[in-house]
Amino acid sequence: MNRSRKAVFLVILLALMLTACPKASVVRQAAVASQSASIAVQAFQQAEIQSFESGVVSVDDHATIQGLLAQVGQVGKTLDSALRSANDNQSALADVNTAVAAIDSLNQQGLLHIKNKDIQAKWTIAMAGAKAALNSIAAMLQ
Amino acid sequence: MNEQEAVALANLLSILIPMGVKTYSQIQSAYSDKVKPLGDILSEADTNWQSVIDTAKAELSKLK
Repeated sequence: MNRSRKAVFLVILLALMLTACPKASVVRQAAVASQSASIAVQAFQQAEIQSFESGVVSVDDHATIQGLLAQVGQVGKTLDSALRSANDNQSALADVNTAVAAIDSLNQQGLLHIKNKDIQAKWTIAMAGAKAALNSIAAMLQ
Repeated sequence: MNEQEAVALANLLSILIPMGVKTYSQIQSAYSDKVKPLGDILSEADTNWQSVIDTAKAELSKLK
């Protein structure tokens, strides 16, 4: 085997080693995304409570938003639980996609039921932030 | 080094340099894995999500 063939062989071997076991890092990235999303949602929740207490948000909108946030929190917990048992990238991807679809659906419900336009826009931004964190993982896994 | 060898070397480097960058990022990622275990990250995320749920329930109960 001449020198350049040895080099090509080593490169191929290195590539195989690098792609063989990416699971831990990918699931970890998904966990970090869940954590980032939870921080974004928490920040929105606190801001919304302050707006409600200062009279900017109506009782109806406050009740709608907090009801939806409880469901978003449940989606996050379900994702974390699924990631704990994810065996490979594909199952982690399916878990992330399920969470993204659920957040999408809750975002739509918010747009339908929140009447205050300002808080509706903030709701969409918060949900888009949570989705963006999770979508970055989905893009990496595909 | 003749022209043919220079082209072969350039081709080889074009493969090795991106691989080196990828290796570096994977080593860095593996190092981070050791700094904060996956379970800890998921526990922190879980705590945050649970806080969102508990706060939402508390707010809703105030309205009743």
